[in-house]
Amino acid sequence: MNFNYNTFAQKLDGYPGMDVDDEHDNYGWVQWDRGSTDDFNKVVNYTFKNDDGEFEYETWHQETSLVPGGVGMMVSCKIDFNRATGDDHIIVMSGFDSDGNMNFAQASVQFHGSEDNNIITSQITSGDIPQGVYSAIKSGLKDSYGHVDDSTEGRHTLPDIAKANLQAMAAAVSK
Amino acid sequence: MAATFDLDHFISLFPGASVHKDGTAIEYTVEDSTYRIYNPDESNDGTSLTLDVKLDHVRGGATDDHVGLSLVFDSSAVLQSVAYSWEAGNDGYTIPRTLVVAIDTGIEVVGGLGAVETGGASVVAAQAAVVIFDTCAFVYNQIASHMVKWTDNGGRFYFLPVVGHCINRLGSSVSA
Repeated sequence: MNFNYNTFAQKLDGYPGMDVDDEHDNYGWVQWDRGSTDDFNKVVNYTFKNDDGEFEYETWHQETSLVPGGVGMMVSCKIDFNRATGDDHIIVMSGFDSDGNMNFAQASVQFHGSEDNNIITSQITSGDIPQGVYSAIKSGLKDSYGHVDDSTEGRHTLPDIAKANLQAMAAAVSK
Repeated sequence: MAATFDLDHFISLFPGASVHKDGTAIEYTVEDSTYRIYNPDESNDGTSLTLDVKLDHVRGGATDDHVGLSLVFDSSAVLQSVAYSWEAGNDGYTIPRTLVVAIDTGIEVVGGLGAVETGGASVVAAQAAVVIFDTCAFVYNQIASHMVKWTDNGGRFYFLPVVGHCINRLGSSVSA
């Protein structure tokens, strides 16, 4: 089984409202620390624009591991929501069967600061899994959650960000 | 006869890992955080194999986060149970040792044994894969449930997938 990082970046760029930076070089993958050459130090930077504004994120190089016998794969990653007052993070964990189909995903959202409870989704194992994670995160967000320049709009994009990443991860996995 | 564990293969599954602690541990950096995996302690009673593993989330200038894992495999190399404990550095928050009996997780994220047999795996290998998959997902969610009010720079949170991948890689390094 294989995870294609370039396919991931391309698919992410195709999500409505999404725009990957530097996509003409290495499909948008850049070193987070310009002095590093380590793959795990690579990120894709992108913006997501909706009626409330334009917000900045970065997804880190995914970690993969094959299940015993190579009959499935686990894929995880961290996503940063770049906020002026401190980043929020989404951690995504997903699994793929031997045919390369996503069979589960779960996410945890960690908000900067301690004023808002983090969101931990259950494992989504059926139906449209990225959409299921979207719904689970969305149901946990409250209007009072967090501030981006004294607004709450930024954090309300997090369900879309998780969904877009999961869709891109699904496109990137092949048997 | 107990299953056997291949340490070299296990280490090879951590991309970009380097050897530390006089050869008793490896470290690998994911994103902006470094994680240390100690060589597992092996024991067997003639039929089952137990692997005890310590993991650190390395935090410069602060006490590391610690996880302890204990995995038991049967003679067919199928995971039987996982026990874990979690100790967060500095603030002292701990998750006491918790035992997960693999066959009781009830998640069946892979959709049952038939789904993985299409990969051409033997029934036993397929069963081993399903159990590992389900257990990793279950442990991830169980630990995550403790994190509702935790805050940090993300490295502590990513420790969760590190634990999941470690369980998966241990399972991939055990054979009958």
